[in-house]
Amino acid sequence: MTHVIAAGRAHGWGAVDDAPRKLGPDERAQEALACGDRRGALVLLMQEYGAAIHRYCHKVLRSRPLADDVHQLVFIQAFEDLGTFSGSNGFRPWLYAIANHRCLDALKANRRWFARFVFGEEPPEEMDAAPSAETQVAARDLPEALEACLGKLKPHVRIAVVLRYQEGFSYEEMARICRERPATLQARVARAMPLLRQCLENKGVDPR
Amino acid sequence: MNTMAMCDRFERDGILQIERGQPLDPHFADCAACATAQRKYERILAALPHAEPEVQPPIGWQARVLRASDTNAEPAPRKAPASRPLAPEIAFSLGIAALLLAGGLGVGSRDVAVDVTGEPVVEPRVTVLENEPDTLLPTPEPLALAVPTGDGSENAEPPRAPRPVAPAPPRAPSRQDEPAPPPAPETRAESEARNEAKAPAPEPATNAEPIQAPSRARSYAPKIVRPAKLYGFDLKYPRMAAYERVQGEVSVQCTIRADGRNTNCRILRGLPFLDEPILQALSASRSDPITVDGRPVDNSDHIWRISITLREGNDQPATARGVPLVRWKNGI
Repeated sequence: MTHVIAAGRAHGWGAVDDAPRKLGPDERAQEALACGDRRGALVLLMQEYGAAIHRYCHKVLRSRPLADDVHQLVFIQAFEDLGTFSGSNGFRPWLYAIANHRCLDALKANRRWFARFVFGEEPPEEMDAAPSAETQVAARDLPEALEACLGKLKPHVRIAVVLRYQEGFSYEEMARICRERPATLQARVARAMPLLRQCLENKGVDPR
Repeated sequence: MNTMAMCDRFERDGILQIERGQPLDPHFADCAACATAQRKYERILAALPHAEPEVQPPIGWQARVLRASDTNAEPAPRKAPASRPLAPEIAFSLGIAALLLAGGLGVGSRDVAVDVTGEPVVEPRVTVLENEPDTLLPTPEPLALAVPTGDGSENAEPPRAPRPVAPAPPRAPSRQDEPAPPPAPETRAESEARNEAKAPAPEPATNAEPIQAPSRARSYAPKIVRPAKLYGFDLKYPRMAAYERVQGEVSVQCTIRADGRNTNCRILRGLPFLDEPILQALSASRSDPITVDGRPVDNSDHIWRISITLREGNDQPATARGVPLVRWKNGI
């Protein structure tokens, strides 16, 4: 926070030093919004949730350039909608909801784009029951293999697993973010677990 | 025993019961296969929070978002729902437009004239499509923010389509006019953006001399030098192209390495019979690397525009079959 204080001094805002530090980022953003400072609120939100939202976009989209673009779109839309933000559930689920919808839009656009091309069929490979040595070495670490297996889930299923077990949302919050019923999301997570277990075992990782 | 090993009731029902917070069936306490499946499930759950990619947002993203939000703040537009499906024709046209405007990330262009009759190369028409400097170079110091140089040529080009970045218009002085600014915490990104907004603010012309910007409000604009020449560009002009008298302009996007090699070339706009020979000639040729502040940049995209002109005239040498004889001048 040194740069915050230095910037405040440089602009002659002595009050920045005396600002209470006990408020959380959500409360400070709410205060900024109450003062009509949407820009200040946006900066606070970017600082607090920027990295997490970017990570979430990357986990859903599985593409770094796409995640970079969508990540910026999320905060630009957040800035536009800050005036209508009710604040009932806090900024975090609200930002994740925006990110979720923008990620799904990007996935849909990508799917449409690639649907225009006909890719040649891959040559048939001989089946080998045992995972290759390369796979075994690469997937020796369970979290690393799990991260790769998450990428093989369908986007809606992946979103449910990520929101539940990586971002730590409750099913009620997830229902608001995804605009789905909690029971639907519970079923998606439950169906994803055997798929993850199977994928891990195919990679030579036994999660026992 | 075999049926116990095949039991998948835990994965079928047990996980859903756990997720819904319901009590587990008594069967799972007795079934060895289900107990094993439950252990695996718990192990996966324990590992899931650690299975995150180590990615960071791109450098300068906050400043870009603030600039874009400043641009959008004035008219307060209401966006149409982005999930509405776009007509395929419009989407395709937008994709083509974005491709042609791909000037975006590290892409510039040079026109190189090629005289297929072997005359000395003339008229190196140069069209520079500059792009945002901060896409090429990270901000070197905390208070320095990469901004367009503002000399007009690069600002004429719209930003790359997927990136919501727009050149920041000079903001009206807002904070200074307020009698009592709220003690909102100021952050680095905001102070950078504020400094950036202050620098180009139009001042009333009270004096003929230019007003010096304050020292903290100086902006950083890296000097990007793009190559103007291709060395060893040896185009094998095909006989069919010569027969059809193919000429015109091609646009080729290449990645220029720090040692001047042109790699990953692909045709943006081609000519009949000439795409493949041009790609081969470009891949075999070299150029000066793109430099930023004098330092060569590796893996930077660049668009070559190569104009191929057949010389008209009666002195056109021809082969016995009437095909124009093509001679090449190397070292473009």
